[in-house]
Amino acid sequence: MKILLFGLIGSGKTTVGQALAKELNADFIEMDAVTLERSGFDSTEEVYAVRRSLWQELELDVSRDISTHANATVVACSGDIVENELNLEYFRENSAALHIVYLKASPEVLAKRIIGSHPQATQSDQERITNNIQQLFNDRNELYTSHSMTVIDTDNLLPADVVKQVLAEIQK
Amino acid sequence: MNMSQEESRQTKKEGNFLKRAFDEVVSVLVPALEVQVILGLSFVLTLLVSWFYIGMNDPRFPVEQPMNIVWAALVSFGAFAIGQIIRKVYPVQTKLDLKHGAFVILLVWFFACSISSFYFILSGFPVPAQAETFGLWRQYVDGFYEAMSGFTTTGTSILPSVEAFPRSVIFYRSWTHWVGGMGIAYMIITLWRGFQTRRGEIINSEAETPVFMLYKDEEEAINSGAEFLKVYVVLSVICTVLLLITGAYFRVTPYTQWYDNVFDALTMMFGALGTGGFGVYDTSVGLMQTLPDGTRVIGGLQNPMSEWVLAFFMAFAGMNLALWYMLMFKKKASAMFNNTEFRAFWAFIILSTLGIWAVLMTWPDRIGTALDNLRYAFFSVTTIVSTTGYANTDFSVWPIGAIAILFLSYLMGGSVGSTGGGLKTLRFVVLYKYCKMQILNVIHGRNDDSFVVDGMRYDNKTAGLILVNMIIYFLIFFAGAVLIALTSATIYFVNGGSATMDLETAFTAAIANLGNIGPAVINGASNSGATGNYSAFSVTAKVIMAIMMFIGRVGVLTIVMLFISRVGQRNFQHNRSTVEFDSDAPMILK
Repeated sequence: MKILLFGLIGSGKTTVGQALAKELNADFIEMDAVTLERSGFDSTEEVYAVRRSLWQELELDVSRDISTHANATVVACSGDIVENELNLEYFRENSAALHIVYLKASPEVLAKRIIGSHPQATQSDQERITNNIQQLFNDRNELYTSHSMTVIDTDNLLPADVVKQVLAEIQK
Repeated sequence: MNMSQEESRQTKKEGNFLKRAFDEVVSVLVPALEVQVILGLSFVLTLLVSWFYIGMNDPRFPVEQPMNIVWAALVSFGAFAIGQIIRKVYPVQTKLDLKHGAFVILLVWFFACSISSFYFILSGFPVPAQAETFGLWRQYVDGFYEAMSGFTTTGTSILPSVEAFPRSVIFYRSWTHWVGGMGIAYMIITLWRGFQTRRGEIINSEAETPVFMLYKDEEEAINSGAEFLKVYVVLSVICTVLLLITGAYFRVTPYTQWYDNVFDALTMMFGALGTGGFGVYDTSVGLMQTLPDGTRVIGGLQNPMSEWVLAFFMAFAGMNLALWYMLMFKKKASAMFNNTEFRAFWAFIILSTLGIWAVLMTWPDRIGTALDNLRYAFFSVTTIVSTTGYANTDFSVWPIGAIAILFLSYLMGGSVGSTGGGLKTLRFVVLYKYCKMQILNVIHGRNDDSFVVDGMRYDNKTAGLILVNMIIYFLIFFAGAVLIALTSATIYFVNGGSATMDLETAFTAAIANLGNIGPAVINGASNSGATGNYSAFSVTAKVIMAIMMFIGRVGVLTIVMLFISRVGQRNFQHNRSTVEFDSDAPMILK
């Protein structure tokens, strides 16, 4: 079984994914971290921004490898996974019992969370972050929704509640 | 000014390098020493056996020498204590990685075999009556070989006669199979919760699997060991009880003492469950034996029923114990019967048994009834395919057709996750599917690049690595055969005779050692078949064979791991990510 968690940055993929993996006795994989590790770059080097082709190629490799992972796995997907259809194609082909869950959060909530974790951000930084999030949300929301089987609105939920909802959804 | 700065920087760097190297050595050495505690405990157990036989004062057996065991136990506990002291005095923070794990296993096995060899030398290896004539080096190598053979569950012996040794030595020999079946380090780090070194890397290096398992955390590594040990103990208990019952009621000539039955049942169980194969009689399990008055009787256990029990339990131990765990503790029979490897393993056993049976039944010189011959065929196939190496008949005198079928079992080996050695059935299943895929690709012009076996997907890369593994295994087999032929051109028997090595002996001895099986498929000039032993081989050849046993036990991949680089390791650990990182972050914060 593979559970893919979609969502923008700050939507709780990692938090929910780790709890979910523990609940299901499954492995937890954070795609971005794996890709970063394979790239050989440091998280402070902006490989993602600077060498996008390399990053996307690595991401395909990672998707392919994770999709053939033998154990039950919860995957916190990379935010841009939906931008390359091939990523998902690997999972559809190679993984039995695939669940794709979109952890939806409104851009306002996301912006609040990210600004909260950057206390040194100035007023202009905050505005920029809010704008960027709005932009990213507009770009991706439709893709996420169309590719996922379940959409969970996480705006007013605690991580534990989200885990419960996902579990209920899987058991269906 | 500039020069001196650079110089000082360089010396600092060198100092760091030396310190790092030293730390690495200590971090590998310490767990390897600590693991030796299991030998100490084994010697304590052996001491109990020895005391029991001293109490019984049985004139049939050679005199017990409990002081030898005490010395050996002191050495093992001493190694353990040194490890503990170093850990206290010089605590090292170096994290154990796959490379270190491989080195730990190398050291663990070297120490364990050397300590056991020390015990064997004290006991008068290889022939107690004339031990002095052999020289210490020969004695050490013989003891080392015997211990390696025990821990790798090979079961080849360099002893011309087992029965010349006291019961405690024979018990300890068989006990090493039971420990080695699970793995020396694997067993103790499962039992010992306080072990302070990362377990996953050590287990990976010791357990022979086609692809590396990666444990999420320490808890998972402990649990995997606990599951293995549970099944192992349950199977051992059932096997012992069945052997006790058959030994008590079905033996041709009843045991003279009750404890003979217990001793036989325990030692035979150790060998069968560990898929080892050290016999406690010179006539193994059921070889024909010529009595002083000239009559020929079935020797060893003298018990066809026990042979059936052993045959089945050798096959059980040659199966993946994880499947047994599913059956016993999770009540999931489907997991076992739907497993491709399980099916292939049993299909192979049944077909070879029937093939050999058919050949034997048309053999004019055959001994016994159809049922007897079925027993010989089944027992011989399970003993070889599970890489145990017990013998209930001298298969080296069989018709060549039957020997050829049996030789297939030599190449096969047990299953992944079993206590057996060899190449393992799963690799052949993967090879079959890989060949099928590639050939169908050519025929139909397809581009398939992966296939599934038992829920695990193999792509070109993984399947290729397994293929390479098999090729290297066969290369070692051939190279080993040539080296044995070169270094042991003339074989000197203990009784003073000598013979010339022949090609068949070299090749069959090589595969019997590399595959952790034991007796060679034919006797050859050296008498190393089912009825014989390896005492006549030269010392160098014994060292080579001991190395081959070790490689066969831990697998080619672990040997490769000794040389793995940092980048190579990162590839293995790709799903064990530690950093938190979201690729959206640069987009948001730009």
